[in-house]
Amino acid sequence: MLKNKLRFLFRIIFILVLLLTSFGAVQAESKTTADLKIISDPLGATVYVDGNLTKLHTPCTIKDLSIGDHRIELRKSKYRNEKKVVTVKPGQNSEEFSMAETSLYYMWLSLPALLLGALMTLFLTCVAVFNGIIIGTFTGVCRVIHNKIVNMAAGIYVDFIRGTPLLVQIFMIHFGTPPILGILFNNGQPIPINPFLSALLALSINSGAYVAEIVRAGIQSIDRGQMEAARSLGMSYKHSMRFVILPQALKRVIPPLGNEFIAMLKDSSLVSVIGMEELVRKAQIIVTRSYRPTETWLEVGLLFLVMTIPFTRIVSRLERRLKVND
Amino acid sequence: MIKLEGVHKHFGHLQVLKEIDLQVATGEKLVVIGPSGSGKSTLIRCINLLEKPSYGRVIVDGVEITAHKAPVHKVRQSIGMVFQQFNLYPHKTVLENLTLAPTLIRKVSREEAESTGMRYLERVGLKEKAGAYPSQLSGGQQQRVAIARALNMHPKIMLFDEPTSALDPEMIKEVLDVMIDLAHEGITMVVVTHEMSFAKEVGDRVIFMDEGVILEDGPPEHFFNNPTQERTKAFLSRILR
Repeated sequence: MLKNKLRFLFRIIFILVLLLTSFGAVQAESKTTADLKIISDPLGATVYVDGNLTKLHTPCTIKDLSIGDHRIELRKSKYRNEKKVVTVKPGQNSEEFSMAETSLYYMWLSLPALLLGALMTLFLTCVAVFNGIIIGTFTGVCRVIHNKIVNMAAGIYVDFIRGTPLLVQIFMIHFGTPPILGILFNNGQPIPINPFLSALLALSINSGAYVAEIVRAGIQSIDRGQMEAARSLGMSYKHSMRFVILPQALKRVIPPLGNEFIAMLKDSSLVSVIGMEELVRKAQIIVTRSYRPTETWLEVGLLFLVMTIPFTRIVSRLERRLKVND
Repeated sequence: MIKLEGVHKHFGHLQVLKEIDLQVATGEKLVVIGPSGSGKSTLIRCINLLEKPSYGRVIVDGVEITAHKAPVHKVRQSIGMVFQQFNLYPHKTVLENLTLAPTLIRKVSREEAESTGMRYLERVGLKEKAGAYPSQLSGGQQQRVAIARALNMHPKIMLFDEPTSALDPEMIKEVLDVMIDLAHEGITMVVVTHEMSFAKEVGDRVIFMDEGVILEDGPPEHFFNNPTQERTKAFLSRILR
């Protein structure tokens, strides 16, 4: 009898255990939400789930997401966001978002620094060409007047500048003159020149020689008869030059001067080698920090284009207008 | 008034003027005729030293302008010159073309230079063009402005270097009329021209040049009716037909 009772008890326990386990299993299977862990590179993005702002910072874990597909969107800034559809499964979920800077975003980031450099480039060019026009007009006139010594001095200046690379001229001024200044004024101790000053000096002197050739060509393009007419009326060479020849010559010189400006805008990039922080130097600095040469140099090129194209347009318009008037 | 003594001019090996002796009296109208390349333009340009003679002396109004450090500017002020190509200043208006030299070197006030300028413009019949630019004028008008410009310096001598050669035929007369009008004033004139009618009508004296030498020198009737040189006869037969 006892044996029967015991068997019965076992059976009941067995059934109970069976029932319990099956009940537990049913209970486990009927759980309908799960957690989703979100990691992003870089961190700190805001998270939108199905269009709703859910978390302000990654990494984070979104709890109790319903099982199934969710639209997850990470935003870090206007230019860095990423969308994915994530399928949430029961248990632990985790998803990694890679939010490396896009090229465009990177270019946008480096733009302020480069714009500052471009501004410096424009400033250097404007001052250099302005000085160049003053030096060049004077030298250009010196090349055509009837005085052999003055002709020769002006000729040597122009030939020297046009016959040597601008880079060499920059080095000569920035590194070559401090010792001379030192001998003259500082008991042999070299006096360093500030890069800004050397850059302006080198570019102005260089521009002066090119403008001189432009002015000389302009003067010589004026018909001989103009000078003869003025002289036949008793005007001196100086007066004829100033009131008859130069006003006509300078008008013809405007378009080539525009071209000189454009050339100088590009050539001024060479002063980056003495540490003058213009556009190119700024870009070099940025590249050493960011390892993004492709985007940076492309951007620099585009910035130069943005500066030169309007001037090219203005010059060709001037050329057309002056041709009509001639 | 004008005296050339033994004037030679050569450009490199090319001898353009050979031993020219010439005198022009005050008020005389001298017409210089000759084939192209004969040196007549060079001759007239030697008178105001636009061409410097290689050697020889040029004396104008008692001043030897070929001398070292001669006051050439001063003498040029009294010699007006009109060019074949007009040579007006294209960047200045007609009136400014007339007033530039007087205000600059004669130190005449602007108002005065403008009032005399307007008078001369009226005389050449271009008063209404005072504000125009040379490029807006016809060739004949430009040449008349050039004459007025020279006159506004009140010269004693006027030199004309082929003034009608660059003009269309219908414009030649308007320029010649101004020159004839000027000749009646008593100003000394030296005119290089191919206009034989002008030589006959206005010239007191005609010289014929060829290869840098003066071949004929005399009154126009004599020159046109009985030239002495074969070369002159050949030239005239070709021109007068």
